[in-house]
Amino acid sequence: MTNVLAMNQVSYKRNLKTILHDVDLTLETGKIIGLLGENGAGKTTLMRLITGSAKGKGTVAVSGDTVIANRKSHISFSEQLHGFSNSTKLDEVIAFYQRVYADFDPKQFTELCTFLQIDTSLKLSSLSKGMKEKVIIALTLARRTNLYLLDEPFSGIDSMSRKKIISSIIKWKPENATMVISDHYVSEIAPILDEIVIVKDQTIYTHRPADSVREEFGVGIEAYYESLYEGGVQHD
Amino acid sequence: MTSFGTMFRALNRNKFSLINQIFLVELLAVVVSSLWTLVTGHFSSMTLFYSFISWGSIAWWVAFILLSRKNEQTFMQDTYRLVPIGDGGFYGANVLSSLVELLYFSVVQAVVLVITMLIGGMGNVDSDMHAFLNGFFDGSGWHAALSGMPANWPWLFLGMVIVALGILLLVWTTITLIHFLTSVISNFLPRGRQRVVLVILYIVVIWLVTRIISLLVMLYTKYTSGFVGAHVASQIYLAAGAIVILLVLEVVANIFLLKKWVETQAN
Amino acid sequence: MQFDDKVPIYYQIKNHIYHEMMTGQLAAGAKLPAVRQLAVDLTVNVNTVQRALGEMIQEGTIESQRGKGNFVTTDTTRIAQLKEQLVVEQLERVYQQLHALNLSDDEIITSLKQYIEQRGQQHD
Repeated sequence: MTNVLAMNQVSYKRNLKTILHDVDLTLETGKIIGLLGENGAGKTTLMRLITGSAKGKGTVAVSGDTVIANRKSHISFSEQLHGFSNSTKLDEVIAFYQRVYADFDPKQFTELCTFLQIDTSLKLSSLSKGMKEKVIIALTLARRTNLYLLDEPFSGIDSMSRKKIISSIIKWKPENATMVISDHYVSEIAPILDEIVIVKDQTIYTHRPADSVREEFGVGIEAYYESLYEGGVQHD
Repeated sequence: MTSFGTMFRALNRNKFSLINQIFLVELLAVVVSSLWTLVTGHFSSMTLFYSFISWGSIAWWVAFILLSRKNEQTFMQDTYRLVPIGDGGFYGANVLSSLVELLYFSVVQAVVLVITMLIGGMGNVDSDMHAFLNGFFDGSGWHAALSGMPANWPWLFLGMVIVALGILLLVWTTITLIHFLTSVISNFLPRGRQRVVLVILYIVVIWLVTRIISLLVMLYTKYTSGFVGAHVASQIYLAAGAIVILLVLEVVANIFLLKKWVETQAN
Repeated sequence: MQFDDKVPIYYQIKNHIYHEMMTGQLAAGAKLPAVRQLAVDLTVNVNTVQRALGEMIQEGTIESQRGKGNFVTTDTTRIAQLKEQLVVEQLERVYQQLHALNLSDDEIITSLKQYIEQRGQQHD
């Protein structure tokens, strides 16, 4: 299998504080990866280092490309639409995506909208939190690319929307694309994860197949994750 | 990869609606103030023209300020920064789209002024104004104005346009330079009292940037003073040259900072 | 489908398909849904479904036909064998645990009988 992401000795400091150090992370193509860690552990920073939005030390290669502009063309990130004013209509946001991303598939986006029950004539200001997150997921998944980064897609939204989003991930993720989902609702996404990556102590604490946790420790992903903070499971 | 043209059009679109909104507000202000003039009984055929001159100049500054703000926001937002395009192309598309939109706004203003002048001419105006309007519309006024100018006036005019556009762009690139430097430096300072630190930092950076610019201008005038003649034209060209050189330096610095150091706001 | 997070997901998917085969919801020779469809139906990862199906193809309970999809084996003796194997697996577990509680074989039989009778009454 080939690697979609290779991070080598990546470190990041901000305001004289180390956020991440010595990150080595390799992800294979075609996987769904759960990026777990406490709030402020550096999950978002890790994603920002991959996209090039944060500037750190070390090398990051996405599908073999280390140059940031090229890297971006392989990455679809769940950006929160900060660049649009609240009065912007969804149609305009979609037009922007379609214009600037050559890999944006309008047909797939329409399917996603139907599935997630999105009304594209609405304005951004009139969207509920759950609806906005669905829109972001639809926009992110409508691009046909190699690496999808979903930053906390389930925070603060109801369980029905969560289920819909999980289903759309299974349905629309291209077979050979890799998806990284950062979250702390571990239990709900646990069944769809191939691997888990845990960020702790400013670095990658563990990276292992999800089923290997269940086989080796006989515990669920959530229990395993929590035990790391209590020092319950002895770790190699 | 996304092309420069595509990025330019995408950024232009947002700014276009911003400009149209400003123009709508301006129209509203003109209507309200003209109605007020009507109520107070001072309404004449020239009221609309005067009203557009005063509100238009305010609106122009508003457009300029809001475009500057939009420029800086665009540099810091992942919505735009995640688009797969090189930093140079991104920077150019952002600044150029702002320039185009400001020019568009200026043209709209000019058209409105000409139209309201025509309306004014149809009504009862005093003899001075009447003569001016006649001269404006039948071309005789233009002729008179140009005949007083030196023979190379098209070149002078071109030089002046370059200087005007150059100053406009220079203001934007300088704002960006100060913004970028402050944002980069603040990432290296310890956390806490961010607001206070940021204000002090802005003051220091602004002082530093203006010092460097004035130093460069001094150097430039020192080396070029030798061949400044009494001609207006050569002075305008020298000024244009200085502006272009400064502009290039700032643009290079900005793109470098954007590429290596400037981070977006977190999601 | 509800998953037990403590048990490997591919294992639970296998059990789910076994269950459908035993109850006849998936008859011998029946075509299984496409991998992605199965993943969507069960809300699990496509790769995990693939792993479960891969193991089942290895053990011969499912046959993969190139370009057509996956089918439950038409070999009914294989299915019967599988059922027997699953029954033995479960019995083995129960037996081991009851044995660990120091129950003799006779006691195990009586307690099982008792349990089944009581269970029947509760359900009436």
